[in-house]
Amino acid sequence: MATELLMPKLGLTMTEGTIDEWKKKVGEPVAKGEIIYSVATDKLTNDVEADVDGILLAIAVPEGETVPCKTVVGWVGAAGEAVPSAAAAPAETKAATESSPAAAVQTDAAAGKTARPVGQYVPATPYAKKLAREKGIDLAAIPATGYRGVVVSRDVEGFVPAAATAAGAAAVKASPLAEKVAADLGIDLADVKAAHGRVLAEDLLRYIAATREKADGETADAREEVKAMSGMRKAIAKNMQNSHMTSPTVTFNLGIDMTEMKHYREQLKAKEIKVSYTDLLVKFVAKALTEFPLLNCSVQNNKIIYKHYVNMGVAVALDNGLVVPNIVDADKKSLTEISAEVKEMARLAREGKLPPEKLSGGTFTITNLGMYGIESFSPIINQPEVAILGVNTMEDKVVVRNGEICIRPIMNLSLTADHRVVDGSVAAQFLQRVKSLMENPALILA
Amino acid sequence: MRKITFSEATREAMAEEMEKYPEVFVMGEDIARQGGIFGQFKGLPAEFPGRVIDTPISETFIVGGGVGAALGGARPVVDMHFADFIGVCMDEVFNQMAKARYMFGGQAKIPLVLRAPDGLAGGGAAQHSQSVESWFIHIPGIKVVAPSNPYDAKMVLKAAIECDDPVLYFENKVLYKETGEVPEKEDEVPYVIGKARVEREGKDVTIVSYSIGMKNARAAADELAKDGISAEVVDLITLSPWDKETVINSVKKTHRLCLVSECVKQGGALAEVAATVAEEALEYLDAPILRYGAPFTPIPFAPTLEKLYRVYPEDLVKGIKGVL
Repeated sequence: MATELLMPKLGLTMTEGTIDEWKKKVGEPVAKGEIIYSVATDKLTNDVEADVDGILLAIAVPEGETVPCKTVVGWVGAAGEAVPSAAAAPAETKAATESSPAAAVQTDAAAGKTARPVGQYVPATPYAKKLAREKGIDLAAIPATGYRGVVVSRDVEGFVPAAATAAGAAAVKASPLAEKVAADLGIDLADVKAAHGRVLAEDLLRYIAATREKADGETADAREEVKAMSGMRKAIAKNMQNSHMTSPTVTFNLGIDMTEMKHYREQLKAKEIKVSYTDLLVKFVAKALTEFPLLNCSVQNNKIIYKHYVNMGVAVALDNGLVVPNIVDADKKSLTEISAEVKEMARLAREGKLPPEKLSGGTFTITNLGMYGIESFSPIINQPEVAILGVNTMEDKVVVRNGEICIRPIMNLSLTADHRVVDGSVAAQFLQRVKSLMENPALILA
Repeated sequence: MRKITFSEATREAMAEEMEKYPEVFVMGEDIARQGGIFGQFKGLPAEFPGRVIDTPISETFIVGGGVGAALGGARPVVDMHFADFIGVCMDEVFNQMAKARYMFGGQAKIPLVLRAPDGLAGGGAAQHSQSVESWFIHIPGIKVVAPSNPYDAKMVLKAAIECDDPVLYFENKVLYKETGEVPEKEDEVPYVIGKARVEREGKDVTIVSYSIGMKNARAAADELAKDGISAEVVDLITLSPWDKETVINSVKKTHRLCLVSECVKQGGALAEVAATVAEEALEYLDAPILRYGAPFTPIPFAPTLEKLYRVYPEDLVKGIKGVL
């Protein structure tokens, strides 16, 4: 019995390997411990030693071919011993370059009968490949009758797929990734249509998408209900996912002592100027942003676009979603102007009448969950901005001031920043500056 | 239809062109007094006195003088005696004749025909038997033609003489004596340089050749037909610029390509055809491209060895059957 030579699995993450070099030729003797072939992965090249004595009977995977781990790449055995598959054909015929047509037909007949090992290169003419591709036939399934055991066009044209039932779930050719994903999701690869001979991950994704589409509006469980996403939900889903995949983020939390700010707000109120904490934050954060241009930029094709203006986005929660209109030139507007604009935007947003231009062009976003008692969260950046400030609840807390225990209104700010451009120290200094401004409101005039 | 030899056909072409254009003249070694070593100029000197000129044995002068005459407004036809001798005047050919029009920014033209008898002639040995066309298809600025039968010989030569660019006209020494149908002058169809001809339609394999190689192509096609294999035979006629479209269209139909020429196979004139088909029509090939040509060795003098040097129709038949 000939011994199989396998594509080794060199490490946990290796799924496929390339035969780098056959150190032995077919027919050459091989001694145990001798290097018989070398295997290349994306990381390294390893020599594979023979673990038996014998003769290299056949090579199933030629140099340069990539196959999944554990694929049979060749056989070692006694001279004259039969190889368990027609895989020997290409190697054999290599020796006999100018075989007579009659001889060729013989080898081909043999080749045609046996299925080739999965992942083995199928010698075929370019025209046969083209036809097979057009007809969606896997070359490996086609018996060869051509010269030197090659699959030629007539083999493809005359090919009748064996009844799928005959071999049961006949070995479907698939990439290692597709095999893994299919196994994880419990998908039968035979159901998946391959665009190019073997099933690739993209074929699988297409299959999954198609099945999902089909399943739209139906669910097996009567206690579940399937509803299509609204346009806004789709947009939010897309934007959030895109942001999450685009920006590597870090979130920084800092407590602000709101004593002075509360006092400041009351002073304004006494003068009939009613502003919300959000309005105040827009004003104070806008000022800080003018001092920290890296928090007010965007990233495009390895370039940083600095914006010498602050368009402050303010997240507005709606019954069915969320919009972020922005206050254009917030750094140049008075508090009362900001306040009026925030109110107007919120009203328009709830009525669904926000002009589209108000929804784009923002440079920074504030999102406030304080009214729900939230103490800290990590908001997702509104692309293409590079940072977003989450505002939390204001709560009386016991703190120590000048060595004495006292009670102060503390509000946490949660800053999420894109680490591609905003390093930790920059984010921290920015947050510190916001804190300093808010704890000393008079600085807004400085 | 009347039948004449290849040699007579070229002579007819010369006479007709000399009649038509007073600026056409011929020069070369032994052409006026002797009528050309293969008789291809016989009678011309009497018919056109002073326009068939014997030269000293100096290829350098023959081509150099031809280029000068062409620049001066003549339409010279210069004869190389043997294609093997072009090496002597190589600078005149590839640096002057081929480049003048370009170097003068199109203000000059070189309506010159360089006639070059080539091929195995039986005992011609290594210096008088070669087929050197592949050297010249590598040179931009020269058109290279190599007809395979008397009618083409006449029409291609006429087209070459009327062409305003230099044309290298390879005429096979064995073909000179071959006869073929040539229509009367009024029934002639002019040849357009650069066009190949599908000489025989088929569906199983395309055999491309030119010049004497066409004899192998035709004989192989006949032989294959006996076994029900239908070969399409394409005569390239012009080697540079060659008719890519005709060849590729044929390959798209037959899905197999067999190339045959008498020149050395390595770097042979048809290697370019093989490469181009692989480049532009690989997906239509259902078999490896077959190439037949001479072995990579000087041409032997000994008749027994010269025999071994040749390509035979059986070679093509065997090869084609092997890839069907």
